Amino acid sequence: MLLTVKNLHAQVADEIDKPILKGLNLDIKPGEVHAIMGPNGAGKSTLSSVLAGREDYEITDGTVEFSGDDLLALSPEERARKGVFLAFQYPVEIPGVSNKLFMQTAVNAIREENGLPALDMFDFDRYAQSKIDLLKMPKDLLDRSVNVGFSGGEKKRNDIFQMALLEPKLCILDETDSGLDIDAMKVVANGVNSLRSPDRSFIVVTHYQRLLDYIKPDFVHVLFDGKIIQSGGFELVHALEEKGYDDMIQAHQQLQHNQK
Amino acid sequence: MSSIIPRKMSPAARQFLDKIMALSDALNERMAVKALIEKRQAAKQQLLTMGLPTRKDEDWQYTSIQSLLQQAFSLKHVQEPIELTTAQIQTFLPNFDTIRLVFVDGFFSEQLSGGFDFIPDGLSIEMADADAIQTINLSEKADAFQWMNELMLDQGVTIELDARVSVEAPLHILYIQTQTAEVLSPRLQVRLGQSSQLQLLQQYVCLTEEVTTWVNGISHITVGENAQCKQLVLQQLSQNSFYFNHQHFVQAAASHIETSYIALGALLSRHQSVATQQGDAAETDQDSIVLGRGQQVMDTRTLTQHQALHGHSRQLHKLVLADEARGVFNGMIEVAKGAQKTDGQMDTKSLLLSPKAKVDAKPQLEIYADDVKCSHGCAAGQIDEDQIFYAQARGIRRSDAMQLITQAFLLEPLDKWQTQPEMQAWLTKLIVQKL
Repeated sequence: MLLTVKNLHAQVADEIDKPILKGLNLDIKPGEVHAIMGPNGAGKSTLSSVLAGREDYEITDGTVEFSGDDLLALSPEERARKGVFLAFQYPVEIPGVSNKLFMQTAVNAIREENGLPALDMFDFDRYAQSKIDLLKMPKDLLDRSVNVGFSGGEKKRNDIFQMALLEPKLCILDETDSGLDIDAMKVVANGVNSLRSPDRSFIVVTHYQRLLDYIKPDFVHVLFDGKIIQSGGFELVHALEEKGYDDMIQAHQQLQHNQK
Repeated sequence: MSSIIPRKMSPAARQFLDKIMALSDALNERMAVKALIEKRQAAKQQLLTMGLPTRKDEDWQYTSIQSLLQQAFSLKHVQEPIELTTAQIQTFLPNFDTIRLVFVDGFFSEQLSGGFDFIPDGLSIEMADADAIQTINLSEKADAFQWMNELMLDQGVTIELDARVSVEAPLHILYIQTQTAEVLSPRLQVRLGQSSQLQLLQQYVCLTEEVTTWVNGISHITVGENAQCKQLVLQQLSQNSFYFNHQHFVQAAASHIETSYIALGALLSRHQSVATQQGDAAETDQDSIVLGRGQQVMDTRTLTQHQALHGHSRQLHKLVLADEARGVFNGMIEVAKGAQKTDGQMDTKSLLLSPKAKVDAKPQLEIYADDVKCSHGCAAGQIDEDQIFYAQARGIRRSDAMQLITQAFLLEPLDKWQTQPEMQAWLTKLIVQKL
């Protein structure tokens, strides 16, 4: 198992007694693509943030094991070095830092973790160009400041480019499709599809089914009220498309009521 | 004659002033040039009347000079220049060609200077010429530090550049202080003829961190019609030193000046830059990079006087303050009544790396013309946690992320040196070493 999430409970660090994740379970094997869907406020972004190690959240219960490590005990950079990658819902602008310097630093951090020698400027350039070609990214991408002056679509593309450079084991896409037009969404989907491999897994967090039509996940989970209430295959996406979340939520609530 | 009542001073200020006046008296005996003696004595009267500034003065509200007043200084207590080797000063020198004038404790060192082959016809450099240095007349608005410069005036450099002459190599004036508790009152006068071009680099250093000095300088630069002057002041004094500098550019029509101040050293520093656009369509670019830590107090001030048509000015000031460092920025853009079509813009951005660091920024506009475009921006804040997390999520250590982001923030004004990569690389190195 690559990732095992057991009974995960989490809340915003300074909002005690307002739990967001309330006992979430998830198992992911290498090579699998999992989609997490759910209505607004279900806890989708919280799950992404907690897995990547954002400090705004507090874990109150549960465990997360990643490749045999206790993920929750690691700092965000240690998680990234071990192969967890988060594509942000809102990629951050860093004025004055070129994409090239930023990503050279990042790539070398991860190479250091894997016992590999650092890439110098020329080796990095060559490596980065190969990924730019693979993903059909604009040639000047490396020379621009990190996300500064980028459109929403360009920012997401830049995140996918970073993902390609870092070659992570687990890619978490946190509502990467939000605010994207159809063309930008295709670019993101193509990026994900070209990075799929037997030893790379994905968690695609999304509100809409459209991105999933392009990515075709192996498993689909519906997150509601901090828990996964239903899991299934790709067919679940279309069931949701036809009936919406309401039927599924009502059925779930009815079931809980009956259990009590 | 109006009767002016001398200002009351604190005992510490009074004592300080008495001591430096005694230095001035001794200088009058040692260097008995009549015109200079008269200037020093006039400065003495002026100082007795105006006293030394306190934080009750508006221009000194955020900058206390108490740490300076506690010191005792001497003036040229070494009668002969200290001999240094080029190897000893190598660490301060850039790795590109310059016309280099080196002053050790105020004495010109021919041995350490060099690059004279790069001096073109039409560039004249005069040193320690009493007649030359006394031609700057202080304005009635001059502050106490300018008068103290005049009080202890003993040396200077005058640079004249003929019309239409371009100097390829930067003119580098390096002041090295080797003696503790010495005061240096450098005075620089530069005249650029019509359509001439000069790059000027003024660098202030202490030989070691153990040397505590006080540099109190005045520069006066007149820029002829269509002439260009790119000036850089590099303040790298030891962390216990004191630095005051007042520079004034007077610009003729279509002239262009670029002035940069990089402040890395000194316990207390104050750099005042004044640009007066007397001719139409003049351009003025001013920027600064200030890096403070420990207990440093770093004051940067600009005064931009638009007095003619179609004047253009741009400013970008960046401060990074760590520990308990304090930054002060005061920028004034004055647009005179007839200065229509003025386009002036001033930006100050500060990054505070510690909760005890502090910055006081005061941008000001005074506009007496009705068809102008002027703006100022001012921002201060801590490092953005979202930026740090974004870098961490890519495997970059928190400390490296902070370094990366801080460096990018602070170095932004160096972008203008892109056409001179060697200069840009050298300045980047000097600043990054201190981060």
